[in-house]
Amino acid sequence: MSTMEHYRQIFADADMVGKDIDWLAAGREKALAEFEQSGFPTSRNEDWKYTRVNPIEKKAWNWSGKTCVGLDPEDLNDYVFERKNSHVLVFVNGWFQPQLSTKHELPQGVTLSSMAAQIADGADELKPYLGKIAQNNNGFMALNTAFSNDGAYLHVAQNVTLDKPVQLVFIATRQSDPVFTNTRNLIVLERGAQAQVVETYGFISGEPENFTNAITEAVVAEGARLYHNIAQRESEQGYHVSTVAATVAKDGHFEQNAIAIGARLMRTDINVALTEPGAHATLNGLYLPHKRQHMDYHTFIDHAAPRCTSEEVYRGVLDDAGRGVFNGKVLVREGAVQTNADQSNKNLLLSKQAEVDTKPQLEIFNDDVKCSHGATIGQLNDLHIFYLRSRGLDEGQARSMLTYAFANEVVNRISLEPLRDRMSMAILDRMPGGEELKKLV
Amino acid sequence: MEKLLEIKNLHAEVGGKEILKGIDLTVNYGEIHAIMGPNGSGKSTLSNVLAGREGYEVTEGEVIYKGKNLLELEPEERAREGIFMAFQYPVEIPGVNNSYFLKAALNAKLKHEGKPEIDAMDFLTLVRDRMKIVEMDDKFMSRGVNEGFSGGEKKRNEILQMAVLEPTLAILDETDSGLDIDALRIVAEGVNKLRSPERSVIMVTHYQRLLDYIVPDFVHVLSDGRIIKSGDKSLALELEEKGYGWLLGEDEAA
Ligand SMILES: Nc1ncnc2c1ncn2[C@@H]1O[C@H](COP(=O)(O)OP(=O)(O)OP(=O)(O)O)[C@@H](O)[C@H]1O
Ligand SMILES: [Mg+2]
Repeated sequence: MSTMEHYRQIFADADMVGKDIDWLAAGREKALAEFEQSGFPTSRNEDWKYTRVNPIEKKAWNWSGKTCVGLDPEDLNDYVFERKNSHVLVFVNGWFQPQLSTKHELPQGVTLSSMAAQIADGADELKPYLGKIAQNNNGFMALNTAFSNDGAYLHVAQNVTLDKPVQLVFIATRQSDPVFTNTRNLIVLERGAQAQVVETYGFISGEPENFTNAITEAVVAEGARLYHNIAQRESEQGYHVSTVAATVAKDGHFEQNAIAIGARLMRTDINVALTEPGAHATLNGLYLPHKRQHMDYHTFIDHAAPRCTSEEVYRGVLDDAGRGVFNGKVLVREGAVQTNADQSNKNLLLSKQAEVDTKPQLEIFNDDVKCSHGATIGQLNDLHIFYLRSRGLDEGQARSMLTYAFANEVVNRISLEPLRDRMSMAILDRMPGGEELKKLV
Repeated sequence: MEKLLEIKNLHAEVGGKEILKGIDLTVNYGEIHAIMGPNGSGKSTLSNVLAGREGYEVTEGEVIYKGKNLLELEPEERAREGIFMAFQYPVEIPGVNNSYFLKAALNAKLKHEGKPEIDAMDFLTLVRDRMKIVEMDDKFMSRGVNEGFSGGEKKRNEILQMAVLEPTLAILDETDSGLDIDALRIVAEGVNKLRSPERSVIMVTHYQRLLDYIVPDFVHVLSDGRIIKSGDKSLALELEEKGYGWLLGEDEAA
């Protein structure tokens, strides 16, 4: 069976929800056709030059049907930082698991549910948004749209603040056949609304060779504030491809921290459109490939209106034969006067085999802008190492302390404290000498 | 008196250039030695060689510290054995927290001495106590090492580290430079508090001023990689008055 026949086949067989909803079914069908047309991106495509997806393409990924999973909420403690003060929605192999989730009472005007449930109970509410914020820019996105089924749906009404953060936890488990999940999340903040969302991608039971193909769409209306976090902690045998697409309206605020620790191969696109005056985006990111991991962040900030601001801080720590890619595109359109955009990408190479490609890409179409960008690739500073050693720290300790400090430039920007602590620990867990550092910090 | 440090005919190169050209210096336990000398004469080079900095290559001579060959020890081993160099230009290390860095340093030393590690509470008490000596505010401890510190604050932070680590041999490389009058007194007090028959200090300085506060047992003049004159504290006064010219002339004549 050819690749396309394979996906056509499982598309027909999959127990997706909402197969009987015309607009949804048509959208999926159209997306599948797009995927059949485009296939997976190749390195001939400039946007995919440094990231070859052949290992994903070569495998015949299977649909994971809705099954019972023998897990307890405690099994997720690695990924859930706390349950008392946050809403926790857990998904396993693509499906929402109410028995593993914790939902507290929600303020008036807030909907928080699984996408599958929302499709079943009120798909029309989704119609104005689904696929409107994220277009199917590439084969992965088309594939996601074709197979999109479950995920999280959060809707916050005008001027409502969702005080407790929302933790979305996506877990892969080991399966006999390689399985892909096409998580689709939608976050809508109406005018003046506020919410904090954490997407965590992880695994349980061995190191599954899974393929996460996720899309999150976010709408930030006038004056609304969305704090969005992604902790990518997939299995190092797994693949993670995802896109976050957000639109930010007048004086809206979108702030994101993306931390990449897991996956054998990761590609994440973050596309933020500042569509009305005064909109703001903060994008922070940290990628930590080691061994033979490959991590690719493509960010795109579209300054489409006057007086918008954006700030971007991405850091890479690359060890062993780890490979990193950072592509930061900032587009300032003709009418987007008084734009203020800062971007910085710094990379720390810890080994000779580690590599990174960094490309700031500024496209500015008017004169009334303040833009800055800087990209560096370097090693630990010898004088810093000597200073620490001259006080009695051994070389390994000095190196891990300096590496941790470098990574923390991003981690410290996470405003949600329990998440920040978790991320610090997760980083120390996989750093040489991290155990010892843990005792100090 | 017992010897703590013995430098014999020390030659050292930096970047392929010979900077130290045969230094002889003996420091006994409990002594304070001041090293003076013109810019570029090799004072910092000597300090860095003693601390074990990479790129400072010893080509001849030896350094015996506590009866052992110092030169074959790694910088951290030297530190744990009680050598502490206060840098002429302390580096800023953003993001490395002052407090946990210092705790790690102290624990490394305690471990080396076969003592149990210090717990968080005792460490806090100790640091608070030592911070009083250098009149540093608590808030400095939660900042990155020297991150955004003023010149004088950096120097004080060096002395704080010294006061916590209680070295056997403190090498202070121009710790007095860039200090205001109050800070100078504070730093000097820190050094004097450390003074004991078990410890020694090598102070590199350009100014007699510091020596009013910390009275040295010996004063040496380093010039072009050699010690060209040694004396007691009166030598510093003489230098203050006459400069280095007369000495350099003397050296050439010799
Ligand atoms: N990496 C290097 N390559 C070549 N020469 C060097 C290097 N580092 C230092 N030097 C030279 O070594 C000499 C001694 O420098 P050192 O810093 O030891 O002087 P110093 O006595 O401490 O001076 P100051 O009083 O100005 O602090 C200087 O001439 C300096 O330029
Ligand atoms: Mg000097």
